[in-house]
Amino acid sequence: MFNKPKVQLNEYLKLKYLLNDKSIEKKISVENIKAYWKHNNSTDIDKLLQYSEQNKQYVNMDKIDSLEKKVFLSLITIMSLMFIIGLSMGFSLLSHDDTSRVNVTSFFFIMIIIPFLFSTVSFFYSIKSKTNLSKWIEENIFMPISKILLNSSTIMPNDVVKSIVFVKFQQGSLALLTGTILALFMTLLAKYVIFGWESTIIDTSSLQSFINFISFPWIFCCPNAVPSLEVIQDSHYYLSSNIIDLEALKSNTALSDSWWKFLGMSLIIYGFIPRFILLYLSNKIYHNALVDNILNDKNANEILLLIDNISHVTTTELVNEEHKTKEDNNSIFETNKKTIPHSLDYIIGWSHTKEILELILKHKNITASHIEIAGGNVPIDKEDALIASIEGSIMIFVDSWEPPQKDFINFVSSILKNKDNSISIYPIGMADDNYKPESKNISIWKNKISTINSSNIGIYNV
Amino acid sequence: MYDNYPSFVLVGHPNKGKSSIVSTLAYDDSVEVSDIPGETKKTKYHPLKVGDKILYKIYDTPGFENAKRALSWLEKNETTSREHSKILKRFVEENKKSSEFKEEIELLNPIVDGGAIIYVVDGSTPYKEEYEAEMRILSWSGNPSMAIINKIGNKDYTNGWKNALNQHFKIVREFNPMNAKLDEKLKLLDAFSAMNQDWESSIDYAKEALIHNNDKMFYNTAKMIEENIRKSITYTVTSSLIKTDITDKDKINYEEQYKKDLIRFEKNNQKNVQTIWGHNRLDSSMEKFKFSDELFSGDFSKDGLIKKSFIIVSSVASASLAGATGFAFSAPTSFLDFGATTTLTTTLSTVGGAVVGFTTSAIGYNKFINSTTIGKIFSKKRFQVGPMKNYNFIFILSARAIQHAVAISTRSHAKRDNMNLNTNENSAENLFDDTEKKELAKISVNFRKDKNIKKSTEKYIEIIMKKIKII
Repeated sequence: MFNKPKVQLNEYLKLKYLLNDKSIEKKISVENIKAYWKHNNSTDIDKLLQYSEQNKQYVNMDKIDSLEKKVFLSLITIMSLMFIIGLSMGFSLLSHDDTSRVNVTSFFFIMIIIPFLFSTVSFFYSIKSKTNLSKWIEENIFMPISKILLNSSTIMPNDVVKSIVFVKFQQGSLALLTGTILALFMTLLAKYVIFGWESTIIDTSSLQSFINFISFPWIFCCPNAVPSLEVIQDSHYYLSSNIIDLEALKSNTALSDSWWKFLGMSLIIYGFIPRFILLYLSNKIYHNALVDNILNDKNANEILLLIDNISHVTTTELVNEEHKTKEDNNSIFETNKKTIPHSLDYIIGWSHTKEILELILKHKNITASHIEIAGGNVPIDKEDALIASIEGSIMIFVDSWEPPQKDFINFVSSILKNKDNSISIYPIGMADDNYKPESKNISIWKNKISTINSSNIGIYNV
Repeated sequence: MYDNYPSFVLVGHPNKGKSSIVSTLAYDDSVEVSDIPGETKKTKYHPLKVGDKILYKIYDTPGFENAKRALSWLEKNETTSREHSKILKRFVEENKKSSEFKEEIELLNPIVDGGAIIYVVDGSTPYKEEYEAEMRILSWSGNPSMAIINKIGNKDYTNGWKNALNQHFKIVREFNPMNAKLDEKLKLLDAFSAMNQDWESSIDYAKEALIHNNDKMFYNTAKMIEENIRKSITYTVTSSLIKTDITDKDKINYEEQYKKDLIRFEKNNQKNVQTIWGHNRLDSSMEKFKFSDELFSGDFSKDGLIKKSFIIVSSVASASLAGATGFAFSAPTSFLDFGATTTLTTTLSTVGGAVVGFTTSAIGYNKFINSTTIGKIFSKKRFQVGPMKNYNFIFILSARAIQHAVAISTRSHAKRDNMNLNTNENSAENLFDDTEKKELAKISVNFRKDKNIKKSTEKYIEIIMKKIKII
């Protein structure tokens, strides 16, 4: 989920091409937006790569292919060259004849220590911040090299080119080592190699201490690969004025065995392992340089903004109005609270059937001179006729849970036009509740009735 | 491709939950939802948009107020049933200025423009014949339609409603906006798209957009929580330069300020989380952060036994600190005069700012607030409270944030009551598994030391996402 995305050179080049080619219109189609949703938690680079994938038809692939080919060819060239150098240097350093032995110290310093130091220094140089020296090196060494290797286009800035060159150096260094180790292996396979050493400033015991120090990583697991003091003493003197007694030396197999094993282990421990680590780190720096270069591109930020805007989901329009806190309407209106009058002229069931109304009246033990129904499915002309004929005290039974609508308000308002009429509203609850209404519903009715603003209408206080 | 987006018009009797449904589907608590009928006076629409593209619109409308007379108007002007939609359009045109049909005109306007009808009824009240007029008016439009049974109360009249609605609508669905989860909202959208095959792609896209939006809200919530945690852990309150040793009263004041600020950060963070989820109007409250010894003792990242043993020691010590609200913290020693910032762990209890006593490091080996004297310029020094060194802090604050985030993310936008959360900070210890506990302890240190921030942030967000994404 949170793994840092890795950008390949091909993806980088396509994206850079898209970002920098002004002739390409920067747009994202609605159909493609879903792809950006898949990267909900991802970094921006994922979105940009997605954008590049969706617009690949606009990319001039010939240009990119040619640049990629150059990078690949430069890799092959460097690696082949370094491999050949490693192989030939290995062979020459391991060659000996009747009057000479293989100089262990030369081989060790030239083929192991120097390349190791060179790789390490160049790696640290690649990650170090810019100094005058590094600038000079960059301008006078790396850039000319990169021009030869990549014929670098404007699409690739110096940082990226530099990191590519460093990766190539590490790969070349690995190729050199492979050549060397192959040379050692082939020489050991084909010849009996006699190792020796000589030095003006180092004596036997110092060399032994140095070898023990160098051999520390394998001294316990592979003691045969650590030349003993005796072996070091016996192999002293690289050159001999006399013909070497090969037969005598060959009989002392420990002499050669421990030296070639020592050199083999040195090549692995101080050659291959650090080289692989440095190559891995350089690769990481190189990929990071690609990512950073894209993210720092002004056009990339524009695209990201465009992606964010176009893929943003809104479920509603923003409402910037002040939200008023609702006041408790119950306290606003004062409604007459009616009691059941002794004699009723009309009982009307609003939106009831006659049967239901009669059942309610029986249940409530209320009666009146006229019992009518209105609302619901009662035709309008019948309702109008009722309004015209009605007079006196009227009780209207309503379903408390159904809020009063305009048609009801119009109905009672029309009745109240005759000032002698008075209306009591009787809200009833559901049959399940024994017709007892909920107070919340009574409040709703009270509030609505109060809008009529007449003292001749009120709610029966249930 | 999505230019012909569908419009869904929610219509029905007043007070049947139309606005609640819209509010829930639109993730917007600014929709006026009320117990009082007729609160929606004007038709408003809520679009679902991806960028500038509208995928659908949902209309919230006023309820029918004069359906029977409106139907009577239509019937009077009826010619043939083929002409129904035209007559309905004429009704809207001719009665635009009529106060008698104000609500009907408002709600029919988007329908005559082609909006699909979503007829909403309350399944907790019985069906009555007076609804027939409304359903018949709607059928005059000839538009695609369906019905939603929204059970507002406890009673169940769903079956009666289904029988009646099936006569008028091909699709009838139950939907409760008060507890609808994303899955149910998506199912409702499926029902919407079943009204017209042409809307399928638009609705499918809308569903994906809603899922993405939901994921994004969770991610942004986790990110917001992470920002607050990091800010709180690294926060310090520093005194101005002082010449002599700071007084105990001042120490307490600085610590009180520190605590107040942390509470304020949390409150702001909660507000931000509410904004992410569209609960802009929500008035929420949470029990205040308890800066108590018990919570900050032991180590939640290891095991509770340490904590229990602490409480025993703590209770013995606090017996002498009558009525005090003590907490452990580190205080400067006289070594400070030599520029050293050695700390001696003490327990302070405050009643009116009085120092009640000191105990040994047995109680406060797990420091609650790191308060110490820092630096020395021209024999003047500063007193600083924070940054938070206590491991439990990240557990407690995270657990509170998770509790709040879960409550917010699962809360319906149709609800209008206040939200009061009771906390159980001890639950912080059991909320995370062993691996998460170790990770949180590591993250806490990294945040404080400003180390591996990117990695720690990502890990923390991952843990929080796992805890809050329960829907």
